[in-house]
Amino acid sequence: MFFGKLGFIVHRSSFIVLTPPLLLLLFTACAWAQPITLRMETRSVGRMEIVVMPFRAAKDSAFAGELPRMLREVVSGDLTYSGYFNVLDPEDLPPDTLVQVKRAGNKWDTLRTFSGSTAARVQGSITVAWDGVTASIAIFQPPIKDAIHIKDFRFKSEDLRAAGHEIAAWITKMVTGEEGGFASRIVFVVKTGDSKNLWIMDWDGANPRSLTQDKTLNLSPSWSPDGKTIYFTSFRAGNADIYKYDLETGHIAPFIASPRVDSAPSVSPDGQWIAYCSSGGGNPEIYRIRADGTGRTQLTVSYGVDTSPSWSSTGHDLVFTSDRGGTPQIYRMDMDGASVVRLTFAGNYNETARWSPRGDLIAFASREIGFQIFTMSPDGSRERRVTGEGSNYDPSWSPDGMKLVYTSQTGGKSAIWTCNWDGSNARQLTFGIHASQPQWGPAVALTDHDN
Amino acid sequence: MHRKFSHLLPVIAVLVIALAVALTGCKKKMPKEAPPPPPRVEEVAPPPAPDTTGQAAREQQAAMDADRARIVTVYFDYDKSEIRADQRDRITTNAEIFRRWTDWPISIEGSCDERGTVEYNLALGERRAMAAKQALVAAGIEAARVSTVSYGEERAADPGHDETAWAKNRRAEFKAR
Repeated sequence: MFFGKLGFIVHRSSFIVLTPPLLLLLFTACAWAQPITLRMETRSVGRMEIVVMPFRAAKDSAFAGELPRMLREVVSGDLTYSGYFNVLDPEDLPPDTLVQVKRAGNKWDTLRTFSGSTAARVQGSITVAWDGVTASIAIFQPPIKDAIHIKDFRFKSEDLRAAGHEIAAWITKMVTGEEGGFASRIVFVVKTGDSKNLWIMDWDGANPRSLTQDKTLNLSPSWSPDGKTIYFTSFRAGNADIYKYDLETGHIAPFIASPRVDSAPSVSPDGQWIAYCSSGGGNPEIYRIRADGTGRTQLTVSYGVDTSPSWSSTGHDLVFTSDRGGTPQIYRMDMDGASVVRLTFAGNYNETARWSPRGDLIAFASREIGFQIFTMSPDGSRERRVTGEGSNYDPSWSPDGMKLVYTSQTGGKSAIWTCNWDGSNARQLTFGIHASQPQWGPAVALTDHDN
Repeated sequence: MHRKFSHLLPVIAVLVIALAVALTGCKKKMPKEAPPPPPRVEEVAPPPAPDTTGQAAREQQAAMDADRARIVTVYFDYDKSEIRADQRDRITTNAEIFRRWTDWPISIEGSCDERGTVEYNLALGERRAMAAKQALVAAGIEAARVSTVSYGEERAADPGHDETAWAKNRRAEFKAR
């Protein structure tokens, strides 16, 4: 029987004696997970170290080929991209130390102890079978030798990327407590010739494809919170009306249609209300209406233009744009149109405000010569510039409120870019197409898995 | 036969002579001075003869096309939807044309330059179309004839990226449908 320094269990009879210390260590390991809270300061907390070891084909697997390596690439890339982790290269770790220990008689066991690195460690064992792939993923937290989390993910080999996104989401949730933005999708607008159509892509820019293929203008998409419907502005009947696109069927139906301008739909976080801009009353104002078309309520009353509404994460308030003060500025009001407060005072053109799902920041675009994206607190204070080069506008938050997508324009061409909430780690997502007006949608589960 | 005809001969001769006298007498009865000029009343055009050549319809169409081509676009200042003083003549010109062709329905299309956001420009374009409609109505056109559409920044007249192009895109276009 072997007692290691850490009370490592080998023999059944020592189980009861050694469990309490082991449990104590597991609790300690869990305490090392640092969930990101709502406080502004903790948006800057240091990233957790993690290393994703090369995935291997299990002994009883059919031929796996490149699949383990490709799956690991998606997982590792997602963890890097998420902004929560400092993802280490396994090659950079000091080699694990091999320890020989003597068992009874002349038997020796070779045990591996982890190197001094306390980076969380992910291992993957892939089994390919005739009916699909199983990835058995284990998370270790040195110096604990047993895996602290294990989960099996089953998927078809053609859904490898989706499975990788789900695995990364699970790892992030287990290690940091955060949901991350994995397996979410971004809807956006592509201009070809005189037409604009809705497109969709994965959160990392993969799989861009068109949703509509019309010879008209389709603009300003907005997700329903269940990820099943996209509300958008369309000129298919000759002027600006609001339509709904069903993501499962591809069916398009009118939602608000009148001879006047009806545009800028925004769905509330509980999916109950759609806020929008309409000039049906004689002047562009903001209204809200239920998804079933009842309960139409006017929210703004002003001589100026009121448009671009966006809901708060609680659904109790909205931000919007109004030029009632002479130039377009960001205002806040509650869902009945009361308690109107002006939030922006710098610059003469502030538009497209979007409230972070975390509730603590509002992103918006401010026009100087071109546009730049800023964030501010919900009371309008602590304005902070996010982007610097080119002209950047249309910000939209990731579901976890840690990242932004936006339109970036240089010269005549525009593309979708993403960055962290503070502007770091900016990278381009769309290439070769004239893309704009991105909206980051909710995560969607695409694979089968245990519990 | 010969005998009957010869009986009629003196009758015919008398008739011929009487006719000649009557005609000559008519001539003699005409007065010698110039006839009084016809009274000056507005000339009523005679009802048109059936137009077998399509000429009148073509002339009508040509007049319509010429007037349609005279319809002018109204331009706006940056971020503004008020009708500028120097644009009011254009409203007047358009109003004159629309008063002449009363069965044309009128559509006013408001547009913006590319520098704002999609949504604010849709609303600003609408404000411009509505301002142009109000001005047209003030110039005597019935409001019920006029509809408005906004294209925001989506239908640039000039695809350029400088002030010359932008100035041409900040507009209200009047269409006779």
